Amino acid sequence: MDLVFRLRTNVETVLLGKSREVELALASFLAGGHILLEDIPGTGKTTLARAISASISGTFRRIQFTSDLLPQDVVGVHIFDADKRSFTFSPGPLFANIVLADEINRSNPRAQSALLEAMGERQVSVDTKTYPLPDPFLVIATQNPFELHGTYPLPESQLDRFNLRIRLSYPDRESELRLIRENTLASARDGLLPVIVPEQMRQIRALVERVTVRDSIVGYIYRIVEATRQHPLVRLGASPRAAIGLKSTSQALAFLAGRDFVTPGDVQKTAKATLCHRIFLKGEPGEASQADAGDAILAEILEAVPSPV
Amino acid sequence: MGAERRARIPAILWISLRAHWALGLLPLAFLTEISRPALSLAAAAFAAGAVLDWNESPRRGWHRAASPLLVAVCAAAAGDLLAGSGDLLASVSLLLLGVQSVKFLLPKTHRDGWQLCAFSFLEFLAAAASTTEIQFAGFLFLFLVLSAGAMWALQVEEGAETGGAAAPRARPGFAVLLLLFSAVGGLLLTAALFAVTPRIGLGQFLRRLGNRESITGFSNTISLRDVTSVKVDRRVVARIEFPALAAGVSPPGLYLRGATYARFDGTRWSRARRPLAKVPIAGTHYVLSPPKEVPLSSAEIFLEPMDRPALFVYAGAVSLEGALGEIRTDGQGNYTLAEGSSAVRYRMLFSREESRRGKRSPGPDGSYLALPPGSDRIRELATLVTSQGTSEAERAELARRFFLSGFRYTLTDAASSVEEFLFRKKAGFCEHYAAALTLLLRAAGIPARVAAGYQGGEWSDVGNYLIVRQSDAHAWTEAWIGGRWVTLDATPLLGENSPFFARTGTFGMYIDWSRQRWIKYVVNYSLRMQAEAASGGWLALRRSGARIRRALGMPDGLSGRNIAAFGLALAALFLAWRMRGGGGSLFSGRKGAGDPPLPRPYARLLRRLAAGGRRGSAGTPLETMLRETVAGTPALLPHADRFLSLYHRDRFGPHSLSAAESAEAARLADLLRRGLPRTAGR
Repeated sequence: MDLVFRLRTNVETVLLGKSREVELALASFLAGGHILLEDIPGTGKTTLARAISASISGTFRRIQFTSDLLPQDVVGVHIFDADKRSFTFSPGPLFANIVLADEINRSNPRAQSALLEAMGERQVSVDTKTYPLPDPFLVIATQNPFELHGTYPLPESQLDRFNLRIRLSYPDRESELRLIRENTLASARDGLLPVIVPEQMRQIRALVERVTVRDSIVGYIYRIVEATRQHPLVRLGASPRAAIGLKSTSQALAFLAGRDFVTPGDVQKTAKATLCHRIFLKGEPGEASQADAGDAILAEILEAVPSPV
Repeated sequence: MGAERRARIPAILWISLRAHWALGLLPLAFLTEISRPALSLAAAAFAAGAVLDWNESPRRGWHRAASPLLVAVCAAAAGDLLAGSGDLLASVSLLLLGVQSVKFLLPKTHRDGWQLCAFSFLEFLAAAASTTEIQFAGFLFLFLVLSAGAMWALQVEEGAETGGAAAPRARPGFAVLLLLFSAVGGLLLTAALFAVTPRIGLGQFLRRLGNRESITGFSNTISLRDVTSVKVDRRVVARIEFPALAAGVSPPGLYLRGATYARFDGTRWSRARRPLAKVPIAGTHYVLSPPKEVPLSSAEIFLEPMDRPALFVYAGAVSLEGALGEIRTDGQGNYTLAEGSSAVRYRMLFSREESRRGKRSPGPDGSYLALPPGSDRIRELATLVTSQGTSEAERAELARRFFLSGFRYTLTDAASSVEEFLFRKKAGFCEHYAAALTLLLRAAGIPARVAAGYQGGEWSDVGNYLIVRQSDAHAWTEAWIGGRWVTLDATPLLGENSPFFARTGTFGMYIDWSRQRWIKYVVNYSLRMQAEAASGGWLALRRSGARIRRALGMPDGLSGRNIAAFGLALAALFLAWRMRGGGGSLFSGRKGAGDPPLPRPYARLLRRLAAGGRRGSAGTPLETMLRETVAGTPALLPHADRFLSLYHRDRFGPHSLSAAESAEAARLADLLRRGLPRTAGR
């Protein structure tokens, strides 16, 4: 418990005025769900990702996605080892505890898809061989909104593998004033010390899994997910994976709040971040207004679906 | 969607819900006088709605018709109040029926279901307000049984509509408790109504409410046309029950006398000029004539409001009983009430034959022998007709028979005077016959007078009473023979050939019956009737008890007291068992699959919050509501925090709370509920 608290304060010192988003990101991190951070440049996406990754003393890699990035740049390649006279696997940057995929939608879908298997099955297949990824394995991706120049929207299958999409908007006035006052371009607040080791991380994860979810809550989650599938404006609703993600993240959130059971409030807090990016509306995909409309639909569903009491 | 929903409700529940909705119409139809067309419309709307519901017809756009229809219903009800029946209860019932009909036709959610049940209940109450009939108990029983089914159906329906997770409104078993309560409540209510109604004078109140036109009574003078002119009127004047009938007395053959006329000036009859005297009262009875030792019949008369405060009596009336105030009489068979124009009820004892010893009444004076000037031809005729008779009775009979041949009953070309009737036209109606016979008898030396009132009436087999209408108005002759006034009717009995004869249909009979019940048990319900009903009920109870005992072969020694004691002991045992079982299951030990029902303290707090407008939507959890509400009252903040942690642990935590904790949670919930501000506004 103490560890978790330290983790939280550690991250929050970096990102001012964003305790809610930080909490969610940490919850997803504890639940083992990949995180997608989305917003306009300069709002602290990368800072948050780095802060989380820096807090755990595992291996950390960063992939800068660009339009000419190739899948082998991400997962690794078999190269001919002249000494052994055989092909050996040279692991790519994906083989790490935490992978920061920066600006993921600046690369073409081919490179984006390289992440699919890694994120879903926590393993990588290269040619005929399959290589397991280290545990814990977590991808934190950042992306700019679609409408910005030179972006490729993520395909549905890829989006579904992200457990959480967090949108970091501008900080509030107080936080931003403090931010301006204390920071310079040259000095970034990156000097974080790791507070937990991967072994502790696994322990915490086991604890999170033991957080009680009563049947009423499970039913609530099901009804929310079902509602997204039945909504008249929605082309593709949330997947069962989304439902599992919603449950796990709620558990982690409850754990962060020091409880050993999930309340409807936890589910409601998590639902927007876990479900919004998995709801695909009717009409042209990637339209400007889609993200906001998804938010509105989810808010509507949360109001309409009766919460357990 | 709809098909799914119904599929989740068993057909039997579906039907019982519908039956409950329609049940309100039944007591209205059978026990009250609500407009039949409106009732039929509501029934038709119900049937149509039930068919549409069963077929899951979507009925899009029908809602748009609802508002105009409701406006029309309101207008109809208002119109009925102002220009129609003028009865508040009837108009409100019409309004209820209209709104209900509209609801019947539209597609229904569970909320509409609850509302329709409420409508049914209201109609039930309306019927209860207008009846004390024993049939009502049957409706009550039916209502309770169907209520159980309806509640169950609505619970299931509500569950199906909200995906099985609505905040449960009632705990299982709550329906049963509610039923018990309503049964006991209904019993108490009935008892209270029964006990209170006559005392607060509901009848007086209702009488004043009813502004129906009163019926013209018989005035102090009548001409030859007066009685017959009212005969076209089919309005009911009186309804008469005969609790006891002496042998040989048949109700349709009785003459109900309203007035007697002694003086004749050639065209008009007028009453004898006598000073009015108070009718003596002995105990609860008005004594009309000295008691006689002959079989007495009794009649219970419900008189409609009349212009003239005349009291109608049968010939040979002995005594009257009823809340009539002061009765005055001129000693010649005319009885006047102190105040007129209100419906009255009285019970009369009368005898058909006179005992020989009852000769103490003084004989009539000379005015009953007076003839108008210029009646020589009548005297001649009288001598001619009655010369063969040896006694007064024989001569009177001869005079009466004189009219049997040669005279005809007609309404169209009746004679304009008695002379014309007797000697030239020989055609007329009852007044002619009565006047001519009276004059003839007087000419023969027998004191005679004309009496006016009602003869016979229509017997209602439905309620076993006699319906007397204005069309039964009649005039006849009474002659002083053998020391008493004897009824002599010269008018031929026309029966079904009478131009005024009309048979009431079965439906009309039932309507009249309900009206009679209403008048008897509500408008004129009295303490005495109450006592009679109570003693009658007690007797019936004892009789049936004895019958059951005999049927079971039990010895008579097993008294009702023992049985009652046994029943009480059973009830006590049941209560004790419930308290033990109920107390334990009230709050704790509620973990299990699915949504466990919300314990009562939480549910009440939730309702309180929702009532305060905090439940913005179905998705708002209790936590959010409570926090928002408490934000205005910082004093409650620590309590709210403590409560929420307990509540969350209880409802969502891995283990249920300990007894002490659940008690604390309940206490906090109550404390918060009381302390919260009433409305959302801050």
